Amino acid sequence: MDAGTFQFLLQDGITSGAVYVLLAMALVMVFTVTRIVMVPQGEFVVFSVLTVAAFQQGLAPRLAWIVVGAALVATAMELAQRWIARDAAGLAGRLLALLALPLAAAALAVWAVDQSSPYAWQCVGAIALVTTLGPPVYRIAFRPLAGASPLVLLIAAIALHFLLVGLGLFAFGPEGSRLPGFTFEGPRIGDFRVSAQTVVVVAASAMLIGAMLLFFGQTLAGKALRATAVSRTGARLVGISPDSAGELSLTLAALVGAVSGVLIGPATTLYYDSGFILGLKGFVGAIFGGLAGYALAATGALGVGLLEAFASFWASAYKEIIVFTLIVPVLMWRALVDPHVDEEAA
Amino acid sequence: MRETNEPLLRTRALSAYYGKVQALAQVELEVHPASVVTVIGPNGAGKSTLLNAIMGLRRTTGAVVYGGKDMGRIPAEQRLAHGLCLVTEGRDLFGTMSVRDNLELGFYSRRREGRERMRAELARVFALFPRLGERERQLAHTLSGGERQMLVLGRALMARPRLLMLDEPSLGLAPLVVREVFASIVQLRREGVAILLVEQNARAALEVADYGYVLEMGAVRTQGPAGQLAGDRRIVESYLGAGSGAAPLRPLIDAPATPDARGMQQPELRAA
Amino acid sequence: MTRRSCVAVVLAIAAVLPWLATPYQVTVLSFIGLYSMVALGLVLLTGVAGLISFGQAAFVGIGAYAAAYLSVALQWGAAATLLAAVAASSVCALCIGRLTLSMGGHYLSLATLAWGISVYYALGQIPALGGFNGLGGIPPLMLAGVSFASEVPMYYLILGCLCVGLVLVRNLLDSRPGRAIRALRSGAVLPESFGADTLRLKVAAFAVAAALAGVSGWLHAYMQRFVNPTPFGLNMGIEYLFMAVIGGVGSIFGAVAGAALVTVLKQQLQDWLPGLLGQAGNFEIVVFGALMLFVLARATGGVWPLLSRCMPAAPPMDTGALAGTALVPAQHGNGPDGEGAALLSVAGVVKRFGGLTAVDSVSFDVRAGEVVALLGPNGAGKSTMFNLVSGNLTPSAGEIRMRGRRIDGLRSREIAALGLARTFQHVKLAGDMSALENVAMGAYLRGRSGLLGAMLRLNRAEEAALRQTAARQLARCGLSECVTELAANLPLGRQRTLEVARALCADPALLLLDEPAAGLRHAEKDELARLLGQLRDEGVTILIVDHDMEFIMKIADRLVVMRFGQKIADGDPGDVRRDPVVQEAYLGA
Repeated sequence: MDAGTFQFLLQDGITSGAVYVLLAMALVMVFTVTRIVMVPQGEFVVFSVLTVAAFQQGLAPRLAWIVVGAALVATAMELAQRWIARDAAGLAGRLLALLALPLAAAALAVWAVDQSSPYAWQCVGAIALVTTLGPPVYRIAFRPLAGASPLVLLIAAIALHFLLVGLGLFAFGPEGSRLPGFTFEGPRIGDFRVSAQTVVVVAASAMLIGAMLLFFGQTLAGKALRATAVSRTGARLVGISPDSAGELSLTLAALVGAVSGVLIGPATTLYYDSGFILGLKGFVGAIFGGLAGYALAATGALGVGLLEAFASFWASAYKEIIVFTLIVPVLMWRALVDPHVDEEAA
Repeated sequence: MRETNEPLLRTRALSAYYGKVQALAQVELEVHPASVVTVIGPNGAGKSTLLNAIMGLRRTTGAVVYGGKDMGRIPAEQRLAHGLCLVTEGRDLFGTMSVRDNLELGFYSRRREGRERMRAELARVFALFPRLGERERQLAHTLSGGERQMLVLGRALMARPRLLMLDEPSLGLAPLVVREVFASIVQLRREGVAILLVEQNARAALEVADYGYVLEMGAVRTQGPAGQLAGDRRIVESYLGAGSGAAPLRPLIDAPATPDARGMQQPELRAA
Repeated sequence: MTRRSCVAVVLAIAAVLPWLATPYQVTVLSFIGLYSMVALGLVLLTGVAGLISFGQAAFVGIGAYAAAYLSVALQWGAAATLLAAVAASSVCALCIGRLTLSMGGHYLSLATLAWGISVYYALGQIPALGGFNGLGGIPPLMLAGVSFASEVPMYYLILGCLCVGLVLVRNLLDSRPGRAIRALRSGAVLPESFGADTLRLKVAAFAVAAALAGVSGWLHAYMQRFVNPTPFGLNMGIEYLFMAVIGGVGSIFGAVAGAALVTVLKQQLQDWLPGLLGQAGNFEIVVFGALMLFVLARATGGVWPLLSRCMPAAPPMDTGALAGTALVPAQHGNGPDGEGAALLSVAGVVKRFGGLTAVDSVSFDVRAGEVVALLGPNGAGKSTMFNLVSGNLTPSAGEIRMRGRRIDGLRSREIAALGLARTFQHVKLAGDMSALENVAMGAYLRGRSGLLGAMLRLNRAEEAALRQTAARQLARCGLSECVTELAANLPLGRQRTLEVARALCADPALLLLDEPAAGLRHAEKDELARLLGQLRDEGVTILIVDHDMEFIMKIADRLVVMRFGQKIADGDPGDVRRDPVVQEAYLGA
């Protein structure tokens, strides 16, 4: 392999790796706060890409109808529960998140964005749509399972994944889409020209990660999320509602997923069911950090991207086997380094 | 005024179960505003369960009435906003977060009051517990036992509760530190905070309390004004066994005693 | 109508069904049977042992391809390919299990995920196996001269295999290794405390689940007469887990319920929905996902527990069968080890947790045949000390010796094998098992039957002896009337006594009791004190932590008092109690 190929593969690996990093961090965030393994994380990515593609092709964004439907179902469930419990506390806030914002995003997507809008505006519309899907999804799928075991939560996440993939087929059809690439000239490193895609992806990922760090490190809401992840009881004792924390983390994950979609959209053709394998690669990265550490998750995800790029060069037919089989020794090493701590003390 | 005679907290026939095992049996207690009530008793008596039940962390039968309102429908995380606060031993700290972050999160239920207010409260807590100020940036799990206790108490104070429930604050603390902690309890009482204190350290607890309950096997065995309980041999027996030869607790409280009408000596509560 | 007759009725219906159904429906029922076998393995793995596996479909594939290749290329007979299928999947499981089961929780599920994907791709890449086009031309299944080529005979074969599988797993769960596997769900601390090697148990459960999946694959191959990688990929692996959880991982019948519900639901949705909504192939998966979420929200324990409530309850265990000979005493025996010899010797032990020094250079001895009480106020470090002795924690410094042999740094099951048994401050019982079964766990190291023996019920004599021993210990502890009661239903005091009975079942040389009297009433404490006195007379050495001074004074030969992690007193009970330092420690300053 010559230097040029190496650099190309390296760039390829870093570009896809950066997106996997975002996915991995979203997975870690949701897991630490809620104990849910967010299997449908990839669906957020795909929904975002295909919605932008719909705008590009002059089609109506059918995701908007799904968002409206989800908002109505979630609102109905919430009202029904409150009616039975005769409890109206905080209802306004709930309606805002479950009904008003999704409807607003849908309205935006249907009436304010179309084929002639600037590309950036189309992306904003898609991202807004996917992000407002967060609270209704949490309310419908996970809130009823508040005290359930991680296994049940996992199965629920899988059921949700099936649900979303099916809805995705309805909304976007079976054809794949690829977003237009970025056409500016990237900088040179030595005699290697960095591609525009890489520049955008790395820059955007870095900014998003920076924003997340700022959120978690400096704002009280972010600290509240971290606290819920560390000690659920402690969080309740200071007045943090684990449900609100869960909903917020899921919404943030949807936001990150939506942005990831826009970033990865130009690189490959994505179909309505491509989400699973994307989420899986993010999951591999997340596991590298034991589903608890962000830095290691990022490293792992980047590693997956690089491994994938190089494996596809050497043996593209066996690419998937190589990536997934090599996980096992890595996992074993991780498990040795971070020995299984028994949750209960004697 | 009639209101001041109304208890701030009242439990009615409070019972709790672990599966089919009864951990609390028909507990009835009261806490009045600006008073210190203590619940003492041997290990396994259900004292912690009682506090968890009042806070809403455990499912119960019976009623918890706070500020005249039945708390049954209100989930635990919303009770702090009403002024009801539980301080457990250091395990509910956010270990991987800094001391400052832990304290700031104590202010979470009052976050609408703004950052300035939060900074003022932080300053107050650091003044009360200077050692925490020294360790502001350190992660909570690196603190010693005593410091953790201070942190968890400081975190509760950030919320300016009306009723503060303390679960064995003297646990694992050196005597000097225990004195500090109990001094701040008396201080809080002076500021109008009601305190429900669960303690194994019966001596220190009865020293600062106005009223006490003795819990055994989930049920209230004895209750009465703290001074009266201090002179009750049964308490000593429930800790050290009959015939242990230990004198009742009373003579060990080093406060000037004044005999009451029945000839029983009542110690004055120590002023901090 | 008893539960037995209920089961008989269900079986009868299952036997008669093929005559009432169309060939297509019989095929669907056959598939339900196949899926149930795999889900059964998952119930054992996930519900009983607490391990999540996405890779069961891979084992089905290994079994199916073994059958296919060997029958087509090498012309092996059906019986031989069955053995090969089971062997192949079990051996793979043993290897994979050894590598991955030492990882906990999510590492394990990802490893099984990776395993599932890799096998799928491998099966598709190997040319000799036909690649992604698959391998066809599998001869019809001939066993003992009977042909199982058509749907109905194949259905009966599958039904038969499923029933055999259910019986074998039920036998397994009701045995010495089965109890230990069931204890795995509460974590590793409990099984290791009575001597079980948790890794080996997990690998064993994994292998059994794989074997079941292998048989399912073998049947699949002969039923379809054709194999390709598609049914053995990750999608199916996820679905098996789905079926197990929806059916209810708490019971072996949950596997059947889940497989049936999911399969029938999918079939029906595929039949109805296109007609209803006009669009082809879309909405079944949406409705399916939504229905599954609904089922989970209503019944997090799965569908089977709901169904089970409609059936009459299972009859209580037959206690009359508990007569007979008990086990021989354990090797380490309970005779005195020479009067005055130090059975347990703790020297300069320190334990630090981050900034906290929980145990600060503590030293004391426990001589053979003594009852030593370890006392101190809350937070003094007593439980930590206990955990250090029993091997649940490793000291930061210092030495612990039992019978002169260093035990600090050993695993708790190795120390259990040396003759130590303990109870726990926070009771560790298998709530869904009866008192008798919980106590019988204690005798784990005194039995020897393995999985195969358990499944084939070859262990009856040993099992009877184990139960008899357990019953005896229960009687000794005054718990005879609770024998068949589920452990979760007992009051806390009795649960603590149950732990004592379990520890006694190990016939230990050194007994560690962590607050055995907490929650007991006065009369019960007297009984316990008498029992402990009796044990002391029989030569058992006891180290006990408790807070009830009266209770302690009745049984202790010596008191060791701790405070803030340090030892502040050690000696005769009367002297220690009068010590002003001790009084101050207890009642506060």
